[in-house]
Order: sequence, then structure tokens, then C-alpha cells
Amino acid sequence: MDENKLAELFKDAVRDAPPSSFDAGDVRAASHKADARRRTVVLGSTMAAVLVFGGAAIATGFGSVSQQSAVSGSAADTGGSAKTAEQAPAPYELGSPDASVQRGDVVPDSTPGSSSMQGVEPPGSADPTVGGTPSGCGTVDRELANALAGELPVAPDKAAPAGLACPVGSKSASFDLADGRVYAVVVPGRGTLSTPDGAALSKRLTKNGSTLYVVSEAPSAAGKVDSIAAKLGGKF
Amino acid sequence: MDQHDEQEFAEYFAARREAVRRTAFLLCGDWHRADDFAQTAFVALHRRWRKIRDKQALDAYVRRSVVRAVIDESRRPWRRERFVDELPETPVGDGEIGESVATRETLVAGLRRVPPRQRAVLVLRFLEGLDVAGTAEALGCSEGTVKSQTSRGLEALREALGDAIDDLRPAS
Repeated sequence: MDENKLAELFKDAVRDAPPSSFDAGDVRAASHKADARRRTVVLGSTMAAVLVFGGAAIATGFGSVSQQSAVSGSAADTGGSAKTAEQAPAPYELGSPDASVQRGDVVPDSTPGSSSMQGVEPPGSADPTVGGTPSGCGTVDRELANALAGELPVAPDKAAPAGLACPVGSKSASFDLADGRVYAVVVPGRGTLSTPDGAALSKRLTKNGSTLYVVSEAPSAAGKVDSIAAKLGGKF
Repeated sequence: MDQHDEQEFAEYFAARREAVRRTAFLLCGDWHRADDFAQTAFVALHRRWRKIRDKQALDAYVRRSVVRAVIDESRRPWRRERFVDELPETPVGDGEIGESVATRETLVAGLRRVPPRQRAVLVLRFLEGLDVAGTAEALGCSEGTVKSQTSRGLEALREALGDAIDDLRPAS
């Protein structure tokens, strides 16, 4: 049998294909589901790592001596429970490899599906199904998102979680511009937030005594972070 | 993904879905499983869409996904194909339609007796019409390997089809 004939036979064998059992919508839905599952796994393991190392960080220089020993002891004993995080709102480092992996791989591309899912959550509350630790930066704060969207050429419903490791009680929202991400994080009190190298940052105290961070990884918005922070700071 | 990316993906999906399904079918011999493999490949592509800058590489990515999925599954104990001594009897139909069905089923059954990797090479070369270089890229192997797998695959197919190979006729 020559190869041309074989090729014709192969093509004949698939000529009468039955209708497909899946369409583009099924593919999109499965893709979003897989991304959400991955975010849950990565957030959970990241928070566990942060709590363990956060306890060590507290012991080396933050808080009172008694608090340090209690917290570091608790972190060591429990392996990082949520209660430990609540007792010691230590500044969480963004620049760790785990955090950057989380930001790069876990934060989903803005899609209608994921945005609408975010929109039905109460603003400012953490999704208890994500990672099991109420950090606030795993969900979109709707009010903050709308305010930030008003300063950028984006639609409010395109907001995505900042996906950072933030202190408990933080609120966040982020948007993808064509050349990078812009995000706003409101941290309770004078909490700190490490930002990636090279990103433009503006930080100011809000009218409610929280600390607002506006960060731009997009060069096109780098010059606006101060003005954005000034406007948002008056609202939160 | 933003709206533009979703639109691009949807266009690519519409253009390629049937071809990917057909490749998957010849690789596994069953349309239901073929749809599973095809859908899995498209989901993987959708998740990586923004990262794949070279749109020319999309076809290669999807082919690689499908082939890898089929070969991986063929290695699992509960999926390991059981070889039979003889091909199942093909139905004797009336006229050309009957012959066409018989040919199709004989070929698909025969292909299932070809080792998975050799089968993949035959499908990519004779169904998708890829040349040696394109097949090597899809399988992530050297061109020399493709050539040797092609000749072994053809030999295995001849053995599997036996005398039936002379009775196979393309519809056109």
C-alpha cells in the first residue's frame, strides 16, 4: 500500500465525525475552574509558609518580647494557624519567591467569569474557601476597585485580586493594563507592604488611619500613582 | 484573558476543533475519549494563551498536548490496551457505504494494535500531513526518530491488518 493511499484511508476514517460534545464555553469554564483550583492550592501553601516565617520575623524584631515569644511559639507549635496571624499582624513580605510565583501564576487573567464571581462577594471580606486564611488580598474589594478603575482606562468589572500576601484585614484590587498591572492595597493601621523591584509606588495614610498603597508595574501608569493615591486616600 | 484574547482563542478554537478531534480519534479509536483528549488540550491552551506569543506555535502545542495525553493514558494500568490475536469481524454492508464503514473500522482497529508512539507518528504524518520536521516538533523528538518510528509503525500496521490491508479502499 503506498503512502498516498494510506493518507486517503486515514482521512476517510475520520470523515463522518459525530457532533462535538464540547464547545468554546466548556473550554473556558474548565480553564477558569482549573485556575481557581490552582489559586486555592498555592494560596494555602503560601500562607502556611508565610505564617511559619512570619513568626520567625516577629521574633527577630517586631512587637513586644512577650508577644514575640508567644507568637513564635504558637507558629512553631501549630505550624501556622490562622489565629496566630490574627494575634500578630506582622508585615508580610511581597518579595519572597513564593509570593512572586503566586502573583505571576495564581492571579488569574481578568475574565468576565472570574470578575463576576468576585463581584458577588461582600467587599473587603476574604473568601474563606481560598487558602483558609483571611488575608484580604485574595479577593477584590469592590469599592476600592471602582475607585481605582475611575483613575485608569479600565472597566470596573475587570478587577482582579491583587493576589499578594497582605496583612489580615487588608483590602485590595488590581487591574491589568496593556503593559502591566496596577494595584491598590489598603492595609490596616501603619502596616507595611513590600513592593516588587522597579514598580512605582505611592503610599499615604488614609482619612480612616489606614495605609494606602498604590503600585504600578505598568510604565504607562507609573507617573500617576501619586495622584491616584491622593484621590483614593480621601475615600478609605 | 481580556476580551481580545478570548476572541482570538474562540476563533482559533472554531478553526481547529474538528481537526484536533479527528487526530485524537485516530490516536485512541473512540470518539468519546477523543473529545476528552481534545477538550483537555484546548483547556491547557486556553490557560497558557497569553504566554504563547508565537501564534504559529499553537498547532504544535495542541498536537503535543493531545499526543502526550493519549500516550500517557495508554501507559496507565487500567487503560493498557489488550491486544487480540485477530481483528474483530467487520460488518458486511451493502454497497459503497458498507465498504466504507468496513474500511474505516478495520483501519481504526488495526491502528489500535500499533504501539502508541508509532501510532502517533503515523497519524501526524498521514492524517495531518506533517512532514518529518513537523512531526518531530510535535512529538519533541529528533527527525531520525520520526523516520524510524514511521517505518516501524507502518510495519506494525501491515502486521495488524494482515490480508485486510489489500482490501482497504479509500472512498474517493
